[in-house]
Amino acid sequence: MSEKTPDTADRADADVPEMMQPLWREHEEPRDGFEPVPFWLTALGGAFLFFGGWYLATYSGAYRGDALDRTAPAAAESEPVPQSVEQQVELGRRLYATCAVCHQAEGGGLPGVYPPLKDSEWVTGDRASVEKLARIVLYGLRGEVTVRGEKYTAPMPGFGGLWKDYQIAAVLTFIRSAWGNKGGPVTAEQIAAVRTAERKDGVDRPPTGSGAVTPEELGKLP
Amino acid sequence: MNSPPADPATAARAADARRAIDTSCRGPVLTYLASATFWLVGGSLFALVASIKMHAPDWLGGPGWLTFGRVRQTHLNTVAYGWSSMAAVAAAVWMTCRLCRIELRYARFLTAAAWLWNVGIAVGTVGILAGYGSSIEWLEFPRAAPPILALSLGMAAAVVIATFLRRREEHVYVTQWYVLGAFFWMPVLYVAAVILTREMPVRGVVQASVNWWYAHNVLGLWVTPVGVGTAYYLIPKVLGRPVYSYYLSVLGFWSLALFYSWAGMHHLIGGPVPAWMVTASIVGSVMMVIPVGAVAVNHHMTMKDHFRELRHSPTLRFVVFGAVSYTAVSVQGSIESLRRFSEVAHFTHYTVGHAHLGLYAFFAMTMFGAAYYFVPRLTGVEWASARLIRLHFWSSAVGIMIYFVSLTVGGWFQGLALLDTDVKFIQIVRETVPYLIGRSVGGTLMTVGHLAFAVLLVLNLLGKGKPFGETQPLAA
Amino acid sequence: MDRGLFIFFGCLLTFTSAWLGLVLAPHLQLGELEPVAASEVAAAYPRPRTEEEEQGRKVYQANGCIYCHSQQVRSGTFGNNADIARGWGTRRSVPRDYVNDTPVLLGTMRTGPDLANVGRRWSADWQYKHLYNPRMMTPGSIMPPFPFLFEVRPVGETPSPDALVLTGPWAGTLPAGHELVPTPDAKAIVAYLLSLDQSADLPEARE
Repeated sequence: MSEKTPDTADRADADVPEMMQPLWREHEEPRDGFEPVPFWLTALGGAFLFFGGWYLATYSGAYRGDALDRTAPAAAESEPVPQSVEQQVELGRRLYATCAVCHQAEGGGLPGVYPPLKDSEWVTGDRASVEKLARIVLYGLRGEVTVRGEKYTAPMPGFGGLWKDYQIAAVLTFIRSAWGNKGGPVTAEQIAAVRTAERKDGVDRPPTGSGAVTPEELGKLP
Repeated sequence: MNSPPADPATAARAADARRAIDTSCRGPVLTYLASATFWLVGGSLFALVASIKMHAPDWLGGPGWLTFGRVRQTHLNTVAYGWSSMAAVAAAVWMTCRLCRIELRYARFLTAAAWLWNVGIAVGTVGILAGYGSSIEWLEFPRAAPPILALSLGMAAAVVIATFLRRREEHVYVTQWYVLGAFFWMPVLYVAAVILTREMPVRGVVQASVNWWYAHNVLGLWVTPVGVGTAYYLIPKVLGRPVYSYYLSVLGFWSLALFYSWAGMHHLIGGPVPAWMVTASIVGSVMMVIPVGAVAVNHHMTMKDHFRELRHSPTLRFVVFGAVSYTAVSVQGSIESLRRFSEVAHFTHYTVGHAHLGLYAFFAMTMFGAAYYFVPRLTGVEWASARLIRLHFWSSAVGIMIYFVSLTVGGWFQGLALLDTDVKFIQIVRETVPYLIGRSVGGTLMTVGHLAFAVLLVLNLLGKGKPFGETQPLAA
Repeated sequence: MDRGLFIFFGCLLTFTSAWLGLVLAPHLQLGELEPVAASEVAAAYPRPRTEEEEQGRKVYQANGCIYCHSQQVRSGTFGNNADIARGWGTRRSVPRDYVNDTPVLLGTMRTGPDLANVGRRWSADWQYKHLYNPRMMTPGSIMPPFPFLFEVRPVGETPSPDALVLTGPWAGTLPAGHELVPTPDAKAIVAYLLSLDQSADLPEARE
């Protein structure tokens, strides 16, 4: 390899030339070599092709448009309905994650904003009843409510459209037995009965903003 | 080894021929590259704003045009269509002329296409910031922009293909296959996607499948082929050695064309789409191991015993960094597409880390390497400062590593926590914040590198550097 | 591989195969899906959106909400039923849920929670306050604030029923005699968010 470079004296800035040297000597345009494909790559490729074929055959749901994507090929069991108070509390604890956003993880609420559920007279005390609690969770609450001497005005959304009866019963059972609360369990039948009682002219009470109960309304309940 | 030219006269003739080719394509290639750099700097600033807003959401939180959702859309489009695409055209056109051994004709036509593209990006960018973004990922530009971009893309593709058809060199080198593929695929993809999602939209979730067929193929059939083709050109070129194996090149090209195009539905794993489509895409994604392996072996064996050249050649440094990142991001992608893995990583910052490993650590770094090579040859002016080049390389390399590690680790933990219903959502958000700050740190470093590159480019275009030494005779 | 035509046909073939598989085939399978017609016990599902909800959708698109929020509930087999257990839905999302949507806003990020059923979770009042500044309702949130969707204006003869009551550090930040009201865009996007509800029982959604 001849290394004819004209006056390096010209290039006073030694920094750049050293970096640029290889560029000045430009090689011919690139060409192909003809080494064979390594065997291991062919073997690997073959193995992957087998995997691909097997995977395609197994996880394609018979190529149907209504077989939607899931991790398990067979039908999975949906969440079982609790058969005991213990199972209710377990399910309720998981569902409580949604409530905890406002009422906080230990049921303490946010002073002045969201009422506490721990030691609340509405949950287990003298103002508590399944009739009232079911309606609060099913339809939401709006208006001013007093809990443990503090006033709260933030509206609460209803969950009757989002949760089934056994789920609402589970979360109420959990709330009534957590953090030192000593209240009894709530059953799905009780929740269903409330829904039926709130039906007017064959139409369900809306489980959203306009259907929310007020403290006045609750006061009239047993 | 490349056989050395028989005598200095042949070498001088070859150098003259190359100089003529370089002169013929100087206008459009430099226009594309300079425009690309402009969008790179702009896109990097949008990126920084968006990144900082993710851990300081009230910063610049007032005006609508600066809201995170719009800035983030703008970032993606300016770096994907402004920087990446224009750099791709610049590199592809230059390599096509060199490999066809023919001067570029229709240079002014191509320069016009570049300016048209700039107009399209500008219209699109302003449109998104003004509140007309579509929120269709990778197709966010408002309706006025796509026709402009499609026309410009068509013009560039026409020039590349016309140049190829006029070629003097009979043998079609591997880079050319990739470039031809890219310039056929991208215009068709773009027009089809715009029609099927915007103009005559298909119904419901079929739009999602068109969307991700398109968006993933922008990576797989536009950006990747140009990036891989560039590495195939520059590594042997700088070293003066042949590519290791023609057969691996063929295997790599066709398996990429086949498998990559099927991989798009891995963006919809777990989604409301038929399982067979997702499975087909997972198979396509996993099978990418074959072309990626072929390319990796080819490049590695070409570089073997010559890694010391990395010390001398900035081009090689950037391109090899890019080529290694290509292998890494593709293997990561193959694993990421498996359902059990995706269960955790989908919807998290992990995927953003992966995207940037591909588009930046692989593609952008490769494009930087190409620019450092061809710009002095087109302008006849050396780069003004080796120090700035080193700053660029290290800032970008360290920056993307910090970026990638932050989001990969943070995203993985985020994914695990999302699956654990005992962890409240807001807790997950709080725990990702340190990693998002890490991303801002990495992104700042990357932006510093881009500014260094922009400064170098401007200096070079203004002629502020020593004359490029092509007057010396060639050595082998 | 020295023939341009050969390369062209190869590229055309591979490209077309993927287009057939990922675009045409799903279109043939799902492209004609219709909402479930109204019956004695249930309204049509998905129901057509009101004009305000459609406008709200456009506000959602313009402000890039999908870049943090998904709108798809995953199957119970994904990650131990995590999506449903988090209260993001009562069932997984299915293609029919999106037949009225152009474009579909499935989203690919969960920097924020999934919104497919958010209409069931939060009231309009909460949504307005949350949009104005998310940290007012959820301390620690990194969601951007949207003050430009609201306007501060002098109180008229009677305070507007739409006026927001700001709490926490935002209470009392308005100039005296002024109130904060949502713009039509804010009302539209809240109407849209309240319409997001995939709880209707669909046979194809039962796993």
